[in-house]
Amino acid sequence: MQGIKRHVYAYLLVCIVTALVGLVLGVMAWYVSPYAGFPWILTALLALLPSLVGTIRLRALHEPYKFGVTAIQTIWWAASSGFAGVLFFPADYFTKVAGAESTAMAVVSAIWLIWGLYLIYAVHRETKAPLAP
Amino acid sequence: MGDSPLASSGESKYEWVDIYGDYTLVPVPETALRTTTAIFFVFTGVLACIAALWGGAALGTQYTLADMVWVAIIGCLIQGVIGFLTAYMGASSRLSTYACMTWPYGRFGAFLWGLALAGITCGLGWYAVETWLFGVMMHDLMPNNPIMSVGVASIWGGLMMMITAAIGIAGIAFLSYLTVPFWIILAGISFAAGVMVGGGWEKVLAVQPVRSAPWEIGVAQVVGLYIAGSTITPDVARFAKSRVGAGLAWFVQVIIIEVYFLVGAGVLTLAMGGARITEALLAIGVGLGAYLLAVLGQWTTNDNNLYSGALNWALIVPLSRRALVIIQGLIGTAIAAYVGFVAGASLDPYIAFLTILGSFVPAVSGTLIADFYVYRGLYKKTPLAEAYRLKIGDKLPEVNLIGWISTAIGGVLGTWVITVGIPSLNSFLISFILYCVLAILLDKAGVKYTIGKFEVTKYGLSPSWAVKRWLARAGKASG
Repeated sequence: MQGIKRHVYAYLLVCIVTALVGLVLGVMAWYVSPYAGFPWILTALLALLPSLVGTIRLRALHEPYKFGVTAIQTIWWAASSGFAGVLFFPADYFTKVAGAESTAMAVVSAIWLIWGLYLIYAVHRETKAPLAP
Repeated sequence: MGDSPLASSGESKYEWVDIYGDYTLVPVPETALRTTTAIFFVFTGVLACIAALWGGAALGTQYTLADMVWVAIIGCLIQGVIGFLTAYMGASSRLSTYACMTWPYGRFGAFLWGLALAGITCGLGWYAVETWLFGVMMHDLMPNNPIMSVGVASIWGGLMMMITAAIGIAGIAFLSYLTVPFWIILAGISFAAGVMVGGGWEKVLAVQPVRSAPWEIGVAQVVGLYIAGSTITPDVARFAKSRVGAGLAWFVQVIIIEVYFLVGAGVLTLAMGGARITEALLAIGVGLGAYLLAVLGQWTTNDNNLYSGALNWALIVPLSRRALVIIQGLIGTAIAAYVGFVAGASLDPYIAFLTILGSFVPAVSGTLIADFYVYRGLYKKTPLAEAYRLKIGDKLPEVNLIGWISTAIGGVLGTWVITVGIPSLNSFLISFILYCVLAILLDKAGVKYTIGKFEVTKYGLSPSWAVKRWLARAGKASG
């Protein structure tokens, strides 16, 4: 159980840090084109806020099943934000404003998604919490 | 109003046998209850689909930005209040919508009105509309390809959706969890792009729509977009640990997220002079991947429509769910193809469908809410946690005439007869008032207004033929 807890916290920490970087890049994009910056900031916030709230909620949970349920809910948000990022950041809409940065965000989003999906399965296997959020 | 539903019951042993699965006609056990966050997530997952963006796009062709915001807020407020009250009812009783309808309509009436609401509205109506919209999306992707004409794409799309729904919904439903942020961001892109295309805030605020419609019609369209969902909130809310939490989960997602979806999509179509949302998204460079995911989202939503519809038909028709999915799918596809060949990509059939739905269905909610809160809560002084509590041995009516009369009169007057005010509110209020007045007066006068009685068994509200069939199958399996 301790192993999976550490794994979840590591994932959420990576999400928080990379989403913060994404937020900064989004704010920079806003100054170039507010219309590309707005959805960019939204994407970063959709990954950042649930990860932050989830980390705080998880610290109070010690019973494996309850930990598993909350962890899976939280990871779903981060992973699904990654799914959206993978689809949107390589699109013309963003690359015209910030090509390299949006490619970097697409890679980060892919990490949120793939790692997140694997972790959801791992938490489910360890805690027997339902896979669905 | 305690936080834990049925807290007084001291539930120690679950005494029901669930023959339909998913606790369709029996109360949800305590072990299956979920947190408010989980309920909010499920509600949002249901809302986050392309239909919400199509609804917003339809507003963008009829209203200025300021009017659109007001229309969206008022429509969503109506949905929010109705959904809050029905969700609270579902969490209190831990029963599905159809089971809750047994009190105001009787068991037979519940099956019939439940079927009208979910079987016909979702399984046939929404399925046909979304299949046709799928055809429109395919047409926008490749306008010159004859296989992608709206009518033809509706046929092959509808048949393929029907096949995936018949084979298995579980894997497809899984995908819908992944797409919630996708829709939120897509609406954000639509909004931002609309402001950009329109030339900035001030110019977008001054843009006039391609045609104009009275604001109350717009409210009815917004209500119609999600009124079936607002009425059947007990289907999700019955799994909630907190009654108030279930209501709030609904209210918040409708007031914040739905308004955001509607205005986001509406701004883009307004700024682009009435272009369809899909055409507009492709034009601004949202990317083929995102577009195809929107198509896939349409697909998963429609599979859910078909599947939910089949679940309702299965309550009264002794056929397998798969057979019912196929029958509904074929009928829905035929309707979609007809609309596709006749109307093409015009949004008019969609607007008409939303207007009728938003005008008539609130009458069902009015009756349900009147019975639960006013007749049983205020008049009979039954605690709300006990008002719709199913107990083995209880005798409930087969038909409750007042429910039928008030819903029919409220729906017809609100939709087709009264021409002033907001149609959705008219039909809701007429059925609500009519039910309260008739039920209380007839009860005081001692006049019987129900027909027949049936006894609740451990199989809940399941009809006897279904119990017999289930027992025979169980016997074969154990034999």
